[in-house]
Amino acid sequence: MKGLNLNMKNLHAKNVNWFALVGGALTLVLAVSSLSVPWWQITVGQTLVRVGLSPVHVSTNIVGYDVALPIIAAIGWMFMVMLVSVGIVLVVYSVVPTKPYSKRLLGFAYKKPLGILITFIILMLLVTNAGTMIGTMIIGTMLRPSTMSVADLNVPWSGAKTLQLPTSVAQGTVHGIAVSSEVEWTFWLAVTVAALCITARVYHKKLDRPTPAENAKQPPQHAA
Amino acid sequence: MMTRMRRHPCGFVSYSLPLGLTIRKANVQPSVKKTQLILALISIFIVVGPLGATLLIYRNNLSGVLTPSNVNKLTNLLSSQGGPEMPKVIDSWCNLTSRMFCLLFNFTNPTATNLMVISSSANVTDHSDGYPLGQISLADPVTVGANETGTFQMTGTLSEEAAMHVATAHSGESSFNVDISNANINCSGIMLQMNGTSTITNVSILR
Repeated sequence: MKGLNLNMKNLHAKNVNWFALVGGALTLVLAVSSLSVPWWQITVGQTLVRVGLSPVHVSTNIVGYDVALPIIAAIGWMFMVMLVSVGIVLVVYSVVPTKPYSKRLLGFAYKKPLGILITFIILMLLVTNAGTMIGTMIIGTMLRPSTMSVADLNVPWSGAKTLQLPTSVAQGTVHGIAVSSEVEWTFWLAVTVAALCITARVYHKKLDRPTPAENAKQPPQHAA
Repeated sequence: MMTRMRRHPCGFVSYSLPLGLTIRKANVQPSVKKTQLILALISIFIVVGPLGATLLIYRNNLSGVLTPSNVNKLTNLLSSQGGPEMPKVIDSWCNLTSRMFCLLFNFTNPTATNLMVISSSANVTDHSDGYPLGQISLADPVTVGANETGTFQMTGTLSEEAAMHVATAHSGESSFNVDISNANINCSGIMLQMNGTSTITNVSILR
C-alpha cells in the first residue's frame, strides 16, 4: 500500500502530460475505428466501385465483389500495430513524463501519427491527380491534338463530379463517369491526434524544465 | 590534479582534464537502457509481425500475397464469354393513332450489385429511307437487382409528319424496321454512348 501511495503521489496532476494522455487515448480510438470507418471513401458510379481508404484498412468493392490484396492487408496491420503501440506508449509516458526514460517513450511515439497522416495525404494527392497524370500521358503521346482539358479528370477530395472522358479515350462507349468522394470523421480524428502528439512534445519541454526551487536544491556538480 | 565533471542536458557527462583534454561519456541509466530495448523490439515487431504472419499464412503459395481476391470473378465478368450482354429488344410498336413509339428492352445484370438505368435516349430513323422519326427516351429509371433480368421501356412521340410518313411509306405492312443511332445510356453513373446505328426489325405498326 505504501508503494501504491507513493505511485499515487507521483501521479500528481501537475506532473501528467495531459496532451499525451488524450492523444494516446485518441490514437487507440483511431486505430480501432479506422478498421470500420475509412478516412477517405471514393465511389465510382452509384455503387459500381467503392474504395474505402485508411492506413489500417483498405476496402475495395468492384461491382459487388470485395477485392482484397493480402500484401495491402499486411501493410494495414503494420500501421494498426504501430498506432496501437503509439497509443499505449503515449499513455504510459503521459503519467510519468519526468522519468529519465520518458523522453525515449515520447520520442518513439509523438512523430508517428503525423508521419502516417502525411503519408496518407500524399496518397490522397496521388489519387486525386492520377486521372490528370494518366490523361496527360495519354493525350501527350497518343491523342495529340486534343481540345479536351485533362483537368476534368481530377477526382475531387470531397464531393461529387462527373469525369468527362475525351472522345478518343472513350472509344465511343464510356464518355462520362460519376465519381464522388468523402473525407470521413476518422481523418479529422487523425489530424487531431497528430496535433495533440506534437503539442505533447512541446509541453514535455515545460515539464522537463526544472523549477527554480529544484535548481536551488541541486548541489554543485564538481568532483575532485 | 583536478578533474571537473559536468552533466549535459542531453545525457552526457563530460570530464575536463588538465591540458584542455575532455572525456565525454554517455550517462545512460539502466531504466533508460531497458526502455530503449523495449522500444527497439516494438519497432521490429511493427514491421516483422504483420508481414511475417502474412508470409506464414501464404507460405505454400507466396504468389497469393500479391493476388487480389475475387479477381477470377471480375475477369470472367469482363471477358468475352461471360461478359455483360447488351440490352435486347423484346417488343416494339408504333401506334399511328396516338403517335406513340415504344421499345421494350430486356437487360440482364451480370454483376453482384444493383444496377440502375437512370436515363437513356436515342434517335430513331426509318430503316428503308432514313426518314427521321424522332427521339425516344427512358420512361422511368429502372433498377435491376444483382444477377437478375429486368425490362425497361423507351418511348417517344412521333411528329404528325413522321406518323404520316410511316402510314404512307409502309401502307399495307404490319411491321417495319427502324434504325437507332446516337444512343446514350446513364447506367449507375456510367455514361455510355453507342457509336454507329443498330437496326431493330419488325416494329409493329398499330393503326
